[in-house]
Amino acid sequence: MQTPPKSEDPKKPAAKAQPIPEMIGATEAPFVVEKDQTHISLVLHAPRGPALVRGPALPGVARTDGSTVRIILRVENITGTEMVPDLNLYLNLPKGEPADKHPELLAGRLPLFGLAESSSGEDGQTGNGLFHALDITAVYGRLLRDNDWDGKSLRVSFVPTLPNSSKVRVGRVSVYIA
Amino acid sequence: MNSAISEARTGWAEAARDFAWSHPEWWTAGLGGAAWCAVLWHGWRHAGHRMGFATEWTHWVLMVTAMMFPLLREPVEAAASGSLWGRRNRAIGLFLLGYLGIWAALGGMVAWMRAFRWAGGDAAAAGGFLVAALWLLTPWHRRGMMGCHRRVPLAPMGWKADWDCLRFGGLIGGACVRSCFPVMFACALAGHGVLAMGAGAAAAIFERCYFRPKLREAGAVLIAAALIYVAMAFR
Repeated sequence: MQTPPKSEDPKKPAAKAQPIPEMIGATEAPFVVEKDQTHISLVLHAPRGPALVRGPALPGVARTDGSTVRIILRVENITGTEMVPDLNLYLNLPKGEPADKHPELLAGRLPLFGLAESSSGEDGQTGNGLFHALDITAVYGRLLRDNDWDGKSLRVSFVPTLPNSSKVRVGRVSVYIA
Repeated sequence: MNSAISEARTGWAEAARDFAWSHPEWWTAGLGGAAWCAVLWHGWRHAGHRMGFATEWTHWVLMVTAMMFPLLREPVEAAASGSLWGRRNRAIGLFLLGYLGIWAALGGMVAWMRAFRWAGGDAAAAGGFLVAALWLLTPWHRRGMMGCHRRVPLAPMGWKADWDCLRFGGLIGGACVRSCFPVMFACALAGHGVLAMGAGAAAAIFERCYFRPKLREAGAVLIAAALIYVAMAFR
């Protein structure tokens, strides 16, 4: 009996499975972002799941399945009661140095539009606040490559883009590898 | 030949692993399915029978597991993906413990109430489903439903992480009680019968499995169940 030909087109690349993100570190407790710079640190653990199986989690280095790693910084449960300016996030900003001298460490901006509304439990809102995810692959890779960083502890600095006196509460900052 | 079999096995193993990795809630749904089997078996054989406190409470917990666990996909997934990889199943287990703890505590009260003469029979079940349908119109139900989408920050390690998972489960359990208790109580009044649980499950699916909850459809199912029990009461 003749084997039926395969229906797949060999020239067509196989659809890549969606990478499963793995959390490798998070802050221990909620914290408040003050009017000036606020610094927090989180311990990064070695991956034990998909990120380990798929090969080295080094930005720019191809993994066993041909994909490249993505590092995601999630800022969760951001709540507040008033309108506040956006926040800039810096990674491993040296202590005592102004953020504007280190644009290469800027991970991204957190827009806080709708903060008060999403923080209240009224009008059909859960009160969870805002959630943001920033792709920090480039900065993470640069830190490993240029700054001789060991990759075991990450310092995240929150810097308001405009002067303000309102407080913003952040539930958690976490790092994922995808 | 052997290498082909070995490759096929590896392929299946990897597919199963990837499924478990991307759907950490699989065993929660499995527990729900197993509980469905147990309550359906009981429903066919002993529906409406009076039970002792311990048996009634056990059936309440089984009923909650069957009807509610399959609807917990989102928060269970949040508990798993918000935890370090080695802690994912532990986080899910603690979340479910916190969730079920709230319902189980309430089950004690329900089991005690079921000992009274009025808390059994078709008329009581009809009244229960009617109240459950009216509950859908109240702001408390709406707030309970919104509360089912709450998310809490989870610590990554240690007892704080365990406590956060338990608290997260309790928080979602409390919101779920506010939203669904009348339906579950109606099912208990109906002696955990198959018809009652089917109607309750359908109403819960209409409420929880759509981006915009289908409250009209949920209400229609509950009123239909109430009418059926009225007809059975006058039979």
